[in-house]
Amino acid sequence: MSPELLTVHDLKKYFPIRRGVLQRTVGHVRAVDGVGFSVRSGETLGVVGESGCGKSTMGRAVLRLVEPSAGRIVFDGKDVLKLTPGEMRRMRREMQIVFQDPYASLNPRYSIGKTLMEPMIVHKLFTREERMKRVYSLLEKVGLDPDYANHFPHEFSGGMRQRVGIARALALNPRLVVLDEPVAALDVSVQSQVLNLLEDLQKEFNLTYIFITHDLSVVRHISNRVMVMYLGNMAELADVEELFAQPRHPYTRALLSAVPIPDPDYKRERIILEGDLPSPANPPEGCRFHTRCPAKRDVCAQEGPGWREITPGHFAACHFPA
Amino acid sequence: MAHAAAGPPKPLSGRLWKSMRKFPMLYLGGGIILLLSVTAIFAPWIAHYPYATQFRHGLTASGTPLPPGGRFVWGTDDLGRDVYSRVIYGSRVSMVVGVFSTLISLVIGTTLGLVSGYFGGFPDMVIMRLTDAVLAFPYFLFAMALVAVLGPSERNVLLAIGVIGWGVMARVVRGQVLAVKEFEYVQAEKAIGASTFRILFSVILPNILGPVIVLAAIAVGTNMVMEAGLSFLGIGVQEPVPSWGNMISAGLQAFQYAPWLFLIPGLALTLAVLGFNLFGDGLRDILDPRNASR
Repeated sequence: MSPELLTVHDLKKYFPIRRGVLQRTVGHVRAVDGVGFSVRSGETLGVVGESGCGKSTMGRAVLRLVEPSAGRIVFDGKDVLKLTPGEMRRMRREMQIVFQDPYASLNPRYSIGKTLMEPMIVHKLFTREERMKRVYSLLEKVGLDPDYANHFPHEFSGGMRQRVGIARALALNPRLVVLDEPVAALDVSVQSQVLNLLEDLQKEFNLTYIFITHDLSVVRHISNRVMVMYLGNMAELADVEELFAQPRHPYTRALLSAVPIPDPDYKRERIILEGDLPSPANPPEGCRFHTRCPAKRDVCAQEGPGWREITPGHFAACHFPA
Repeated sequence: MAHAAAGPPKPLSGRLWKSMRKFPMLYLGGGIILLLSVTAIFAPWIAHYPYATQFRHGLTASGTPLPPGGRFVWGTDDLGRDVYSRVIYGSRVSMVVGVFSTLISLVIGTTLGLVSGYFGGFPDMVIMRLTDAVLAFPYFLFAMALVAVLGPSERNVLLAIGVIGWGVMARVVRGQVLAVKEFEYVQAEKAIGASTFRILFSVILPNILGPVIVLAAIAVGTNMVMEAGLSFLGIGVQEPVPSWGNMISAGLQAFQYAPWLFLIPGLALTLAVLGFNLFGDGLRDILDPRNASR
């Protein structure tokens, strides 16, 4: 088993809610509330959960694009949250991100070539000619014509832009890439092309991925392990086959039962969750999920379940795992 | 690709004509600004005489100014100086004060607006309260007070107008930054390890420049009027250096028997301000995203 590249301990991100003329803090949105996991070198950790569960915030907090409120992030033996701003900027060569919206993630005033050269300019890498050469090779790697270097983002489709976004993330030869819903904004036919590209690049450059998505079929396709998030907390973490074959947490079971199966004769029990997602500013006492849980008992409303290893490598936060 | 579908390029003259018909205000304003700039830069060649020379034949036998026509095309003033030459040289004061005071405001306002909008929190609060304070003063009275303290001169008028005129710009820039900084390309720049300075000035600034340029173009006109106002009151540019403001002031005392003395510099000032306002409005039309046919 390969060594752990990234370890996250008890990561929290609270956004203050300010009110009134004095902008006093009247509460916090607990977007990420105590998440801990590790990622092994070369693997893909899928992160799933519904909208607003904090998965994107978690991904950005790991890269310090939003400053975590608490926790510890260890990347390759270094404590990321203790780095000075200068050290952090150098560290960013190792950890990159691909954004969800390819229409917002490229600077409209930069040509594609300039966008891809920017990371090398920022870190003062290579000479001008070498940078140009690298831009062309990056474009080729992501399946785009090198001639596109002189074009601007508005001339491209979403799928092509996302390829540029991926090329930008690779420009610095990172080891870890956070993929924040990289295919959610794309057409289905383009989605699979981009997913295959991501898999090829992972093999070629030995990349480690944190793949954030709400699409279970995508996560099943690309991940080695999967983490399920609910309301800023972790619900379940297991190897992908294990998780899909034997989900332990009732929330995971409900999620999986919602995946469409392309067989009209196949009958199965759908687990329909009732109620809405509670507000992360005022999460329920006890188990976060108890307000909507089909298997809830009295203890769930009083006590948080804690994070337990149910079978080796399979974790869940539930008093009564299935 | 979008440009591939555009068909063969039309000849430049045809495209220019089409664009002029679509944005007449922009080109009219731009034309006036161009005319003013040429006048200001080449004033010594365009003017007929030096601006301070008092001509022996510049007054009538009874000592009143000469009306327009003849040797002095726009007449003379009550000291026998050539009005045409003085109006030409006066454009220098207007342009220099108008443009450079705006540049000062632009630098202060943009920097403060960028910092305020990007960092938010405490710096934002301090800067915005400061902006409120500056905007709360009557613009013109504030400039008067400053010039009174600094002493009347072209340089001090320029500084005074520039130093107090940044309030609106800081607010506009801040608002734009608040909108632009949420775009993921700004996050992406941070993610590749760019410094905050680079994010502010090389990523955010170019993307908010449109509205700022519109504002600046209109501010040049406003600042020209300010300069003329201060010079009119005698606390701006001092005689014998001609400014449209001090020419109007002097001419007003003689308006019953020599109305051209205030009418001509007054018209010049009106034309200049009109030029910058038309240009600013024209730019706004072009940059307006709702204007689909750009």
